[in-house]
Amino acid sequence: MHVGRSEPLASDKENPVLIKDLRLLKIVLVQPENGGDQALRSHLERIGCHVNEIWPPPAAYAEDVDIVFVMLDRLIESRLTFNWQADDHSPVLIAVIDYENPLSIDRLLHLRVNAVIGLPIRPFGILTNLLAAVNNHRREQRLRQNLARMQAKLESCRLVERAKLAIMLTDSQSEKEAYGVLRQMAMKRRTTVDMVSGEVLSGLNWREEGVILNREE
Amino acid sequence: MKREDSVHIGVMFSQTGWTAVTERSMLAATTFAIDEINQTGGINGRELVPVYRDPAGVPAAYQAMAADLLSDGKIKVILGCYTSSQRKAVLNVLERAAGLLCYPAQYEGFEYSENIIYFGAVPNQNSVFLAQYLLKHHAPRIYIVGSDYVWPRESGRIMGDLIRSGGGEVLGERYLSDTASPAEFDSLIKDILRCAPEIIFNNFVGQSNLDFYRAYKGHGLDASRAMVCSLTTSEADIQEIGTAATEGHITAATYFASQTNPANIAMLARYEAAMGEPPAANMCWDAAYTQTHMVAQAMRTGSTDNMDSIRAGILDASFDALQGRISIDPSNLHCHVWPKIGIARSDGQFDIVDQTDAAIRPDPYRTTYSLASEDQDAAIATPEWT
Repeated sequence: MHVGRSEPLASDKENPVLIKDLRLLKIVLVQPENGGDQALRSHLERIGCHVNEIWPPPAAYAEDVDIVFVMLDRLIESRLTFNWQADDHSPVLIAVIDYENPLSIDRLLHLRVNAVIGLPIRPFGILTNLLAAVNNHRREQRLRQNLARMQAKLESCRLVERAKLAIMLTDSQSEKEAYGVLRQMAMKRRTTVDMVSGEVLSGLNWREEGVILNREE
Repeated sequence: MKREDSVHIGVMFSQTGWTAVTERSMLAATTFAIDEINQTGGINGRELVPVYRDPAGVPAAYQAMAADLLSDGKIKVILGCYTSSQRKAVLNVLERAAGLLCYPAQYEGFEYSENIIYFGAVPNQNSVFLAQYLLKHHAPRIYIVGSDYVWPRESGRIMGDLIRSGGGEVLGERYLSDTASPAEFDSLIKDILRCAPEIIFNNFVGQSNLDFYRAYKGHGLDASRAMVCSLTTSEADIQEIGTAATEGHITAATYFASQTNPANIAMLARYEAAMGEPPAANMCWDAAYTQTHMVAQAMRTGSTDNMDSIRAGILDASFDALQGRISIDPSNLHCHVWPKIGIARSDGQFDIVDQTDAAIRPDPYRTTYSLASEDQDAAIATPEWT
């Protein structure tokens, strides 16, 4: 199971990533070989996670990575580029920081990190923070996906409304009849009402489609 | 040995208060070990001098006394604590003062600090061994009881998972507050009778443990009807509870005083000769004795006043403990221990009916328990020196 990356669908809505899932988490630690922090790696391994270290920061991360820890101050010092897309399928990002200066704070806010751990590493609290960050990240992904679905839905509603209006105005049909035209076209073409609505608006002549209208009397 | 050149060590066990029964026995083991160390040359000719504190079971007192012990920099190591709340209270003092605590009790795991070495068992050690034993010898129909706080609930959850993973069944699970009335124990026993389990997994502690065994006996029940199993009911607890209520029930522990290995027999005889009475020996007593000797061993080979050196010395060494040869896992600072199963006898001691053939590796952050994964685990556990 790749907890951090799994599809945030309705079916797992009620299943938070619990402590029992901890040892299934795949973790990448972005830190230089010298100047990294072995205490963090040791503790992650002690709690039973799989940890891979990588340096310099890669362009992308493997599909099954759940959490990425990045040593932010080492990154700034080395002037390396850190590629990060905080999109729907990104892993959880946790920044590890030495300094709380405006530069690094600004940088980590732009990266949209999910959590921050300060150096030196104190083992107490890492486990809890890790699980809280993974769960918050998943919740955010779920909300994002719902939002995207809602936006698409809204877009298609507007399209259908406009296509209906076009048919109503051109053929002086009722709203219900106009919708019936769209629906029959969609069935005939084995496609969706949204699709034919788009086509109607871009100039398709529905009168040639052989649609039989059931006029309401 | 010259007194002015002595090495000081903190010893913090309660001689009064609610945890005193067990802590007094740990204190006796510690004192005895320190005497042995000094009789055999101390720390390279320097006397090891214990500085005693009695925190009376109160976590805030453990914290204040630990801070006091470490304050002048003379003391780097404290032997002590029994409950998790006592240990947690001491933890942040240790980190600030660069002190090392050697902790001789079993606990629920999920802790790591560079300032603590854990000599007791964590759940992947005793609980797994007990579950394997129960599934081999008894019908796995279990009822789980205990005091209502973290350790009993965690321990109950783990045993439930283990028993179910081995094809067994959890018939009931109930926790009572430490102020539970006799009526509540009564109703608990009635529910147990109604469910008719083969095994009762008991995680009561302190006075509640005593109340539980007595209530069980009071209803005319004994081990032939359903066996009560515990990870904490030791020889010391049986002295309080009475053998009538505990006979035939079982305990899983890393050490029993009835062990017949020559080192244990010699040790008990030595103690009785020196102190004029046999020790109240149990698993905590064994761990307290062991950790004292391991600290001395580390101080002899390294520095006596540098925490990092003492910790490194303990990690590098192993020790022929009474329970078996032990070492500390460098990755998590917990002890490789030797679980055993004992059946309580009428004289308050245990008949040892099963024991591991290798020390079990500590895994304090283990979150899921299933017997299916144990074979693999046992292979990892076999230490190099066997």
